[in-house]
Amino acid sequence: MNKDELIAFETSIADEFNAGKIPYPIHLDNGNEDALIDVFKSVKPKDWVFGSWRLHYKALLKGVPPDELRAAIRRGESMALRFDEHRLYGSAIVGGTVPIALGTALSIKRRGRQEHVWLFVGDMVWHSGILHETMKYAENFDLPMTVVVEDNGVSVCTDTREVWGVDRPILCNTPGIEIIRYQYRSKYPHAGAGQRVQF
Amino acid sequence: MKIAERVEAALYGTVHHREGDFLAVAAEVLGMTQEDVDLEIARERSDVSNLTVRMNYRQALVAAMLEVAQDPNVVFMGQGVRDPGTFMSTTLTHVPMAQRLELPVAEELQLGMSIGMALTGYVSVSVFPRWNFFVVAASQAINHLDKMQPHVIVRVGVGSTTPLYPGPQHVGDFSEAFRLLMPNTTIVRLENAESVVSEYRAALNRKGPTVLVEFADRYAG
Repeated sequence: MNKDELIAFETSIADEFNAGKIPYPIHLDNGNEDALIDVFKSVKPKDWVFGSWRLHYKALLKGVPPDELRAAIRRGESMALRFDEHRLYGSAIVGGTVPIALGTALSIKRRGRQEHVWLFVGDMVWHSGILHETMKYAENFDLPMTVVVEDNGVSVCTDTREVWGVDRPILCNTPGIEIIRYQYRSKYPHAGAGQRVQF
Repeated sequence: MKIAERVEAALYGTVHHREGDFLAVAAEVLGMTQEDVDLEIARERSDVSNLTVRMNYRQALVAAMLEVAQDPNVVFMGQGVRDPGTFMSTTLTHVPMAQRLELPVAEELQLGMSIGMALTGYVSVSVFPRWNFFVVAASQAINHLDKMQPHVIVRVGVGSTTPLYPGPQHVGDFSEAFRLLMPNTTIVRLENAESVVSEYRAALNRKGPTVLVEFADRYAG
């Protein structure tokens, strides 16, 4: 899927939401198309993708058919998408899929499979304890995992750097784990598709 | 004395109805290898195929672990599954080492890993020796184990109160609370030895999450 197609899909979801046809929270992607397309050049169909509540672009780039994704969003599943056949899992809990991704990476190694785990986290999770534990374990046991840090500078509306008291993301000391970090700004609010909807 | 009689004596009871694998139980209670038990039985020309064993609580857990471990997809994970250290450790000593994954003390990480392994076809028996420790993994339990419905078996304990009372942070029993917090998960209290093997067998066949609660004070019986 190319950049225009990604944007068109998300715009159509935004339109549905603004028309009141999706009575559930949605968290739209925007401004990160080029970065994600670049990452997904390395993601193979057999690989595993774990992320959060903002997963539409990743689902499309992993191969989930747009109609299937749209149906899931309409069912209210946008915040915790799950497509077993495409090996893609989200969660509405901050850092929720982080240790789950680690377990999958451990399984891949135990079974000797040629698969890889791609763990997408935001800049707030990047500072969290569970990610620190996960990366340390993955590093020390040489597990097949890449961590992609999607840094938009905020968690909901909170300035991540300010509340952690840092002026830049502090990286874990895990040279064996590939870390990809990109920064972006979205035209959409944390949730919803226009004016922020409080829920 | 024949093997069966020695097992009876060791178990303080009659050997009449059968649970678990006789070879494994005999090896456990007599402190022998299964191969040696097998050789002894052959030497005696005994037929143990229909032999039944009445086990105490801990022996039933030993038998349950051995039975569950026959599934090559089962992995026992947590603190004390390879190394000694907890009452539960004593029930795992006959499980093949390849199926035992000693983990750091990181409860949320452990339960999340168990879920992630289940996505790939493993069945984790995730060991938390006390409910108070499992509480640390509550987010994964409530938000993911209960909602994603992976095939994970959680083994959790209510700490013993004798011969030492370890204080309120080690003897919690939160079975009812977690039944409310995890409405989609089967939570079973293993009240007696007779239910242990069958409940583990059911958990292995369930294909969804199960929490099996055991009681350390009953190990002494």
